[in-house]
Amino acid sequence: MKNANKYAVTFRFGLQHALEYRSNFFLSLISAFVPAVVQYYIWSTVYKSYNDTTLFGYSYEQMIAYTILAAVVSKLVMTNMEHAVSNDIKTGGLNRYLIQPISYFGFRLCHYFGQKLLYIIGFIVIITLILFVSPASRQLEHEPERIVIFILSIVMAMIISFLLSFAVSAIAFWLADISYFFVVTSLVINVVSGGMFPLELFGEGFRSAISVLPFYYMIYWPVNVWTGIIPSSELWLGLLWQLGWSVVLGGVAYMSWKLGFKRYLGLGG
Amino acid sequence: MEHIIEVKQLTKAFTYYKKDTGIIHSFKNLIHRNSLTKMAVEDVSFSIRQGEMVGFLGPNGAGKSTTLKMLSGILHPTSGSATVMGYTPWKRHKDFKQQFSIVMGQKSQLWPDLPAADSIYLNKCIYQVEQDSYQRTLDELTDMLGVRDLLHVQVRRLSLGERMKMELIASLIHRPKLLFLDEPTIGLDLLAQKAIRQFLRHYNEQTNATIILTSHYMKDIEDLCPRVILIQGGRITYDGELQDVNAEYGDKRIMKLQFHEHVEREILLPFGNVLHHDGITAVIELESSNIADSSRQLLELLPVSDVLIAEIGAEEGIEALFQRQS
Repeated sequence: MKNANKYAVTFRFGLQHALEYRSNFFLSLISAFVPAVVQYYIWSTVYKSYNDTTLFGYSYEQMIAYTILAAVVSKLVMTNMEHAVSNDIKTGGLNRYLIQPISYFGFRLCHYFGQKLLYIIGFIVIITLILFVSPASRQLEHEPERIVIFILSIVMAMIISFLLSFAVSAIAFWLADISYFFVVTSLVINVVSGGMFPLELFGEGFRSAISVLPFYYMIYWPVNVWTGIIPSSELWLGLLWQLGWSVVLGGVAYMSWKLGFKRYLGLGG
Repeated sequence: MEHIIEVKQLTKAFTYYKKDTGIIHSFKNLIHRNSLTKMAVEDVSFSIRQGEMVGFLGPNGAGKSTTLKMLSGILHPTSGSATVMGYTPWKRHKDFKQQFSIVMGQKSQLWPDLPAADSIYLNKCIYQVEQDSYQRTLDELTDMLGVRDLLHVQVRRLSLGERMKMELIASLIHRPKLLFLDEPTIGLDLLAQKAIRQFLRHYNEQTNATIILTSHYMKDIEDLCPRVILIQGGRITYDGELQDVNAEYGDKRIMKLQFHEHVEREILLPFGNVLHHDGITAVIELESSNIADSSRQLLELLPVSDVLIAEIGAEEGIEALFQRQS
């Protein structure tokens, strides 16, 4: 038998980890849906009482599609790995990646995608359901190009989010106890990425300000590729923005870890 | 035989902050912190040959772990040099990483949620061990440690001793030439300690691997390491054969006394160095040339109910050395 790749094994470990905590997985899916269901009823009432066809530029169908998809995409994209990484830094868990021929970055990346595999499957199921079952989405037009870009944009959003988390976690090299900092950052990132509401709700100025930042491309943009809010002419441009931000964040993550390792004490044990 | 490790004037300084107790000082520290420098390892030099088993001994915080961390490339030294298997460890060359292992008794490298077999398999992939050799090594190590049945049990369900055995297997699956062990028997019961010692000796004999060990259990060192390096306050205070530690105490004897009524410490002082005294029992260190005279006098003068005269063992020898240095 040929040697399996160490990163493939790490990917499998991530999946096994997710399976080990299946109840946790199902609970987190439910936790994504409860606010979505609440929002569904709120928006239904709001649209009925206003008798408007669009609010904030969204038709009723678009708003519902956004609400459901944003909940799922934010579960898919958010890494929640800051705690694990900062813990590795704080307690010396990083040591083994310094003494073994394996890169910590590669390890975390594969573990993250492995852990998200269940979500990816769940996500595909939900998308298919929405596409074929939900009456709301029949109103939305999905030309093939849009669907391809939607899938690509989700993958890119996962990469951006991973790099952002990885760069942010490097703060643990300088500050020893920052668990609350990470609770705050992940909440803020979720909101400004459009994980709760469409960014238009905060005003057009806010939306266009955010639109040059990576958060915009983590949830809001991929979801609105689906809803059709993003015009066809801007599809490829957005993908280019995602690519650009991946490169920039990759560079930031690389530099912050390089500096961090210089400070690293290898504590514990 | 060639030297596998050459260390020259290795020094590591840590800066840290001092804070007095109390909330006022916590606030003061927000504004201005007194930065202090601690020499964790200072001017340490030694060399180790292929196949040697060397024990690092020293009190807590003496610099043992820091030295191991520099030799394995986890830490950069402040100054000095080290060559390990021809490489500078902190350059972290891939070929260097391929040839050694470090086991930290207090830091697990196994995945708690997965069976140990999975973590061991990951190491096989990391070190790119061939399937044949992997299977052979795994069979051999699990049989030697008697943990074959436990390979497929989740690591967090294993006992501390069982987990330690799995750590060893995971660390040795790529047959490293050099093994650093930082307190491998910490917290283990006597039987498990013994099993691990036997295993390490066997592994050393079989593969001629170099093993460097730190431990607080004197028995570990006595059993395994002909050579010891004593580290205190970041400096080497002794480097040589374990049996020679006692050489300078060779002409000394330990006398353990039991009295049937209270005896003042002052009365014992003229006879020798009083190592221990609580009124009813006492331990005195004496010159062996004086032993006959002293014991006669002691028995005549004092209400002695029991007496035991012994040579200074390795443990007492090292203890005495530690006390003298500090």
